Amino acid sequence: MPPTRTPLAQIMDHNNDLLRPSLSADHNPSAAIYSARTVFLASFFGGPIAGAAIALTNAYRLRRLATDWPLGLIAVALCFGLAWLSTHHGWSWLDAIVGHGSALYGARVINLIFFAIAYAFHRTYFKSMSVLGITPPNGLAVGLGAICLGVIAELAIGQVFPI
Amino acid sequence: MSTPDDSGPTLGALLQQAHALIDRRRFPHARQLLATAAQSYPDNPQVLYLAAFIDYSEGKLDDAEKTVSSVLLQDPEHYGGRTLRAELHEARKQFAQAETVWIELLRDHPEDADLYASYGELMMQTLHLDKAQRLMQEGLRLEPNHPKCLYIAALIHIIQGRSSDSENEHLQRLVTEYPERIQTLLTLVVALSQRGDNRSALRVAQQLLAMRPDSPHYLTLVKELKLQTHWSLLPLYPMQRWGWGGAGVITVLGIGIVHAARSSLTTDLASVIAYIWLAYVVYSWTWPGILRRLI
Repeated sequence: MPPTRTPLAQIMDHNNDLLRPSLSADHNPSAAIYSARTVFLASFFGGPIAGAAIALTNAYRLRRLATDWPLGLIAVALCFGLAWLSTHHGWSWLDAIVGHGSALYGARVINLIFFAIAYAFHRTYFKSMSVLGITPPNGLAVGLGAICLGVIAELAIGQVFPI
Repeated sequence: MSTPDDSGPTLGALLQQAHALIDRRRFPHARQLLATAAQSYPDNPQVLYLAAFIDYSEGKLDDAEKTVSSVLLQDPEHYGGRTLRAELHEARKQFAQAETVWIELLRDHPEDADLYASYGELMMQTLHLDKAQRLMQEGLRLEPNHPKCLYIAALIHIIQGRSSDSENEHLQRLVTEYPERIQTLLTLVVALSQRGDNRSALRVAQQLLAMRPDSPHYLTLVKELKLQTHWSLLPLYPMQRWGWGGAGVITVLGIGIVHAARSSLTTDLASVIAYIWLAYVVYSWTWPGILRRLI
């Protein structure tokens, strides 16, 4: 049986926990992450892999990679899903509703869904930056890089499923 | 007030006057007074600290740093000097160094709600919200109506968006206990703006600016809210009110309408709808930025 702890000892433990440093000089403090706009544009135009690249960069800046790694897994799963749907007539039900060429719209909606998931992971951080007026870093270069990565990844995954 | 004697006002009286002037942000007068005090007490840590505080308030960080170093050289435990050093680190974005100073101060003064508030503010600024919240709980346990703790706790509540503003107990206590304080008005601006009520937020922000007309921060805030309430941004209301959720719904709706038009309307009419949609998308991404430069 564990020893009974006095309330004073518990308070001291609590304060020691509060007074444990959370920042370190050798790691870029997580004062700003790439904006939701960057994640949105990367996801929308580059697909889930591109969105995940930005979201995981944000997770790294927030030191949350250990928590947020499933985002990468979700992105890869969605990409495989999209590739499978495109090569196995998976969009035929949507074609029947909105007409031929619905795969493009379906893919865009899935990209938006991925953005919503990534946004949900970091919602409080985006809102903190908005409330506190913290300027996000310029996401142009990183965003374009992520879009290129996303497109290349989707093409490569597309090779896995022969038409 | 000063008690004149043969050699003029005492140091205590001079410091008291300097404090009062600093509280009213009358920095040139306070500086003159401190210069007078420094002639008789050149190495007094409190005189040096107040001089450093004025430099810090006026954005002269290097000068403030030099003077704080002198203060701490003479009195390494000087409370004001240590807190100012932490603030200076924060102003230079040396967050880890600032945290070290706050932690050392808290170890020496474990029941000081001011320090919990300052450390909590740093944690909030560096996006460590959970820790900021726990620090505020501790600060408010020590001093239930501490204004800065209430301010930070209210902001955290808004950021986490767990419930409506009417349930933001800390904001309510701020408004009740400190209705005239800058922090209360600032929290109200944030709460109103996050709720999408930018017009009310603008009115409160204008009140803030009237209280601190020399503050570039409040000027920027008023400008930003004027931008958000500009008539030309009215079509972007769903995005302003519901954020990315609103943007997502509008995007899906737009794509759906354009596609439905292509399959059910004449080609010309469908093209017009597609161009209107395209124009709306371009406008939503570019016009706020252009307007920000114009206002």
